[in-house]
Amino acid sequence: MPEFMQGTPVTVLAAPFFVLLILAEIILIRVRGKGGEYESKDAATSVFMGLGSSVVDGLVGFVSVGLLLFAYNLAPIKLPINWVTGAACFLLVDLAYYWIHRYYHRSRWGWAAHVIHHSSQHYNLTTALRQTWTGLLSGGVLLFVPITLLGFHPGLIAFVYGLNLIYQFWFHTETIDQCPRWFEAIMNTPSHHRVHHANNPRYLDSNYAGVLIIWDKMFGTFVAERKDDAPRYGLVSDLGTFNPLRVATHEYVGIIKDAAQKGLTVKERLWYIFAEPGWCHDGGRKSSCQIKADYVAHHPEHTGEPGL
Amino acid sequence: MQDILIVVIPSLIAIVIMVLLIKATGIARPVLLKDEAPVRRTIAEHFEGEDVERIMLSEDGNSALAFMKNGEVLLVRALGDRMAVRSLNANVLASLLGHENTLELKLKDFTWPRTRLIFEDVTARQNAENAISTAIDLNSQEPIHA
Repeated sequence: MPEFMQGTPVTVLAAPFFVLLILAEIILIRVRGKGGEYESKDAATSVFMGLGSSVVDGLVGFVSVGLLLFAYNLAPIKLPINWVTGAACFLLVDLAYYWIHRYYHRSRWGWAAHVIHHSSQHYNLTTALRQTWTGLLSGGVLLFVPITLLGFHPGLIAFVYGLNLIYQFWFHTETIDQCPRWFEAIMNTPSHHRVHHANNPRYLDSNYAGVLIIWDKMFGTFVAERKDDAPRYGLVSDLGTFNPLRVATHEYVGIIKDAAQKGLTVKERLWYIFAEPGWCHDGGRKSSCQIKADYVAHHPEHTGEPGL
Repeated sequence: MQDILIVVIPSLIAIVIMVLLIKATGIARPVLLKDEAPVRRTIAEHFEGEDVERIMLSEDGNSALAFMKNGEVLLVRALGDRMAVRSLNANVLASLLGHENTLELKLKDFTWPRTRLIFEDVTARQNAENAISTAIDLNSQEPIHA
């Protein structure tokens, strides 16, 4: 494996640039008087969550690497590392990312890890750093196993995945409205990802892409941003705290409380863990599908529009 | 350990610089619930199609109660420059404690700190307390008053 793919992860190397861009965004918002909002506690929580995520990755990342190395050793062929295989690996990792991300939103167990990233009511560059501390628990790494079985080295996968995450940093912003049309058509952009972070009913569970938005268009989850329905950021039920420990663990606490209720069947307990977020045995809460259905019931004129 | 410190120390410094810059530029505007209008707007976003009957603002501007026409009671809390809202029912409310002109609510929600509402006088507090108790139908649930 090339030397540049070993050692410190590329996301950590990119951290100083992340900080500089955040400071630049703050100044730009101040100068222009528009294009985003910052709140000190919210921003500090986001960056602290990113710091915690890096520390946890440093401590337990060997588990994911070990799993992928184990799978790689089972691969019938081992591909060389060069520009061609690097590009192919990047594409496959981006596709895997789409499905991991979709799983994070459609199963409460995945959501428990990923909800952290959506827990801010702001959308700025610090939101990109608000990352999970429990990614390993989610099991998302398993979706990279098929790529190693194709013969791609885990080090290459980790490297291009890092590049994928670095790409995702810049579009967590409201300072950029729209990119050129050709770019919006192929790539994930601030506009597409604002939709992903919005809790407006039409925008829920859409635009899962990492780098290429084409995956959402291929798999039917793409929704374009609309000027007449500006994104509102955060969760359907926003958190009441900035405490990082509570932010990191609240959904697991919710799962335990729900699944441990008296009088449930085994199936209901399992559903509280793995069914879509918002699933409830007595209808006391709403899933994103039910929220969309309620919205359409109130606004029948929007029936059949993308996302509804 | 050294690798982790290389990440931790600069990150903490970055957080401090960022917070100082946000404060220096004045772009953050913490919300204070001294006016019903922003509370109504937030409720309209979260509870579309449901009408607010009346709102009671806490004297300290940190929280508010919204009584909806459908009988629902909402607890609104200022959170930085935004708000968070919870619908109060017996599954959500852990305890309700009134003392003089203050009403303290503790929710079962892991992310929601104990909330203290301060009213103009004891009568206003009692009215709020009674309205909450009525709305969540205490008869059908375990006692909520601490």
